Amino acid sequence: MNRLTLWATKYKVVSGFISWYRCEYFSWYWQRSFYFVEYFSGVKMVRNVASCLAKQLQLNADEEFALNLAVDEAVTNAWEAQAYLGQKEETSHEEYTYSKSKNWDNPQKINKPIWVKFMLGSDMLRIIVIDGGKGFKVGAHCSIDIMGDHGRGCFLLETYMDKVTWFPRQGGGTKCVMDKKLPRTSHVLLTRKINKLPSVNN
Amino acid sequence: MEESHMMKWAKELMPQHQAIIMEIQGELDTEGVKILEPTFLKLCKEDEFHLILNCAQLTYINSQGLGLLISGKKSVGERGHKLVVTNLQEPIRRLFEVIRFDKIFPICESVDLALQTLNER
Repeated sequence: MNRLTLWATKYKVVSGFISWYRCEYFSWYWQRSFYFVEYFSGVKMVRNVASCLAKQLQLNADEEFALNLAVDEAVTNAWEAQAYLGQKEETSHEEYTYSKSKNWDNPQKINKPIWVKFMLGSDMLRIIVIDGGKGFKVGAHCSIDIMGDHGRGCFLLETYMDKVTWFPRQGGGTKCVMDKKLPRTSHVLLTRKINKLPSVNN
Repeated sequence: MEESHMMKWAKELMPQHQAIIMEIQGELDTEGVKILEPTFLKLCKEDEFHLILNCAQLTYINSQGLGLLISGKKSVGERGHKLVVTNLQEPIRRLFEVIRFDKIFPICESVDLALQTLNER
């Protein structure tokens, strides 16, 4: 490889890294992460945070409801992945449905925390939910069969949020990234200041 | 009025209309569903009565709560009776439209209208 090619390659790598770093850390001017193992208190906590953010972002009642619901469904999916599938390998939809119906009254206590991260950008709110289980093909479980046993949660998530992406994580678990576009006239967006959130215990 | 978590409910028997009115207050999330489910499904299995859900004070419902309503509807339908939903708050009404529950459940503006609807059938 001659010097010019080598220089060009190094430049590409460095500029790519700088773009990624800027995108990751400077596009989002406010971030807050939570993790929890206990489901009921955890989902209440993140819903409180979502409601608090929605009020500060001056979202209307429908949008606040949508945020609450999206966070609730994503966290419930993450919890169910561990509680009903435990440490099993990636499963099919049929295996997941069977396991959930069989163990509905006896979910396993999860031992890997669920992570929830709220990120605020110039015109977008991003919520990331990560479960530490073995993961499953969540996208495959979304259903518009409203009379069915499962699939409504995913369907609601994808309906209420502007963009939802599922990523299987190396080493286990699923990462759910949800984006919601925000009105540009929000006071917070103009001043870029988030008031204190409700105190939370992780 | 029974109370637990953020979920409260009360029931009222209307024998002249062959209906039971169940008023739900609070949030029908996963925890609320686990608490409400036994009572709700028991009422849905009543042989002689329709079920009217008064949701005036229902502030939140998630997919688990929607699933409970579906189970109730199936149970009530098996007996040839109706499950009518009334007094939905705006965000929940819109949720019902999004998920097309407005095509499955009769939705009325008030309990009186629901009773009238049941009498007319």
